[in-house]
Amino acid sequence: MDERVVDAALGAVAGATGLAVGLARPFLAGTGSLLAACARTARGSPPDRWVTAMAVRGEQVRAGLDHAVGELCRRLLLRAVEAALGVLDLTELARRHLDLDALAIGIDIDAVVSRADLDAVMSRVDLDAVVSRVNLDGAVARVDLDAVVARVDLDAVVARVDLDAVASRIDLDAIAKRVDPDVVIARVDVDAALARLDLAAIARQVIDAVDLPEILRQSTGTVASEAVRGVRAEGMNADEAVARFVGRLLRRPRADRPVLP
Amino acid sequence: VTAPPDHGRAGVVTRLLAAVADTTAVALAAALLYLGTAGARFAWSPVSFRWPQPTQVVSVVVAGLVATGYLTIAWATTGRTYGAGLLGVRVLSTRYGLLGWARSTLRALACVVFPVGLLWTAVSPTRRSLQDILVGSVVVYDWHRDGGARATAREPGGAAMPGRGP
Repeated sequence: MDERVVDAALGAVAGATGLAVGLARPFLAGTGSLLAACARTARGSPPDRWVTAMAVRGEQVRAGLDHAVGELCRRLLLRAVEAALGVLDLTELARRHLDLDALAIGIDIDAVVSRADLDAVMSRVDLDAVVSRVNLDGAVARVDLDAVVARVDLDAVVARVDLDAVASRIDLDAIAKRVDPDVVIARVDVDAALARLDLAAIARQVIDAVDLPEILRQSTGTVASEAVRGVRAEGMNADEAVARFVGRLLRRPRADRPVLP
Repeated sequence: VTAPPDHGRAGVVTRLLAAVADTTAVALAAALLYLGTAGARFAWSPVSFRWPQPTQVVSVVVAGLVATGYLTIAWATTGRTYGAGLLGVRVLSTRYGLLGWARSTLRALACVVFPVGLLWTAVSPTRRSLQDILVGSVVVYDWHRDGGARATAREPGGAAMPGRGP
């Protein structure tokens, strides 16, 4: 209802303005009607057709005013902002007044990364050009390799290595074929090596480890045993020979085997 | 080298060689006895010590006793003397058991008194000497180094075959 009243008022003002702009013609033409309307309005019974027309007219004017005011404000704001940006240093202001750490904490990096199409990014990257611009020598020179190696747990690394598989892939024959034994032996200082050896102690250890008396006893016993077996065998053969001889003398039937019980 | 025989009867040559070895052993034992007697005499009276000079009869008797004792103990306990062990023969009864003390003593005396009886082995079709015939013994080949008790332990009825074991 209030808007309707305002629209009506605006319509009235617009109508009056139109009348004023139309100077005498509209004035003369509508004076009577306007007066009659004013009279009727004053009497509390304005005609609805007029009110409705003025409301429609006022609504149109209000919309036009809104649009005009909005356009005016936009242009004024653009000019003001341009002017302000020309004066202000936004970077300095952000650095001074914004808590970048707090903003960074609030950023969901994972979500950002998940939305990023890294494949597309990488496809656009010219790695050759990047690498060609990197000063690898300088980068390596700045690396403290000792510190890096000190932090490496070599035991854990070696524990994960399958040495059997590695050794199985090594072609020892090929390696051995490439080794020149003559060159290796020529480099060996045998005299120096022998000088470091305590040959006397080694000899004593060997003699202690080898039970020489027992070996002599066994070898002597073996020789004696073989000699005894030889004597026994010869004795048996001689027995047989004597038995055959006596058998022939006494004309006994020939017996090839020794006499059995 | 011929394989060990399976307890066939030992012939005259082997037995003579064994007898020679035993004679040597008895001679050594008699010499040791002589030296032992001399040592005892020297220990008893060094000042009046003189080497013993037994008569021939005494020497023969003592040597005979040594030989008899040596042969008796060897045959009664293991069935073999040193010479028998060296030549790989063993003296057993006809049932292939040990002779026992009585027959061992009788056989030893017979061997000492009449050693020529050993030569009958060459003539005997069963390779037995006169001493074997007298006491009922045989001499068999046995190259195994086992004890005399083993001779009577294996076969049922004491008829063990010496040298048959591993």
